[in-house]
Amino acid sequence: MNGIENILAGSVVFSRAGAEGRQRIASIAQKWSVREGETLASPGQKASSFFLLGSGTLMLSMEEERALVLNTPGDFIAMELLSSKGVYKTRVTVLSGGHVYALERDAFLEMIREDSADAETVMHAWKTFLENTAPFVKKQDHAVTGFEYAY
Amino acid sequence: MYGLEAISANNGWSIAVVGITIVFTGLVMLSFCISRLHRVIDFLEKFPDRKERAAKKKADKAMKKNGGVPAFTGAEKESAKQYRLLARTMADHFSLPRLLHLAEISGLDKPHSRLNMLLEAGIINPDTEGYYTWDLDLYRKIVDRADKDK
Repeated sequence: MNGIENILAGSVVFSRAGAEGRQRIASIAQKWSVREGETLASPGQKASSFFLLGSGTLMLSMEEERALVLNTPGDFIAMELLSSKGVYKTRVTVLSGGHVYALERDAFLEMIREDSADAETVMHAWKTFLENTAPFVKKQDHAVTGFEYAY
Repeated sequence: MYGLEAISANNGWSIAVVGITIVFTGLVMLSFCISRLHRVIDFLEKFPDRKERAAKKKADKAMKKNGGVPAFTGAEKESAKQYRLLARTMADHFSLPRLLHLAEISGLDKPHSRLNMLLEAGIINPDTEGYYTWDLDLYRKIVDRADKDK
């Protein structure tokens, strides 16, 4: 197993998806080395990627000067946490260097929109992850707005 | 003299055999190197993780030696004090990005990793609303202890 497969297998969001589903996620991911002080996303930028944490520590600066610090490999920085209507709304700053996997946003949303057990499992795990790590983040109702519009 | 006769007369057969052997050996060595390449790539890929694990092990050992309290170096302790001064100008439940911004404009050394150090040590802790609090008791324990050790 290579790096990303290990991370996905241990991720709260992706571990319950099937091996095939995880492989598909791995196929749209690109490994980035990140250094202390680097900014991965800034509010107002076009949201092109979601991020899966491999190692290191990231700080997510959100609206009303709230913040979330993530440092567990497999933590997923995406959707409500990161973007809205295809634009980043959160600043992602590297507090300690390591590596992240950048997942192509459009390809990921395409996968998650499918009517499949893997998509449903990942979305359910995502909601739980969000409730546990960032209960203050407003949930998006994609059933009304559609995935592309919501995230 | 032409053809096979000429080849034999000028050691052509032995030269050909030596040539074939050299090329064949070269190809065998090349294929062996290619077959081992994945191990080299694996090693290089896992190298940063090994480095991180070693650093964590070292920090854990130092923490154990320090009675379960993270051990700060002199420079780290100095940064903790400077962060404390900045945090004192803010509310009890303060914004972490704002604290980092203040640290950056104040010219603190390695503001990102030092902030991470305070988070990892448990001196700065998140509340449930996305804001952070300062654990003064733990801060005093770590910094005072470091002072006494000097």
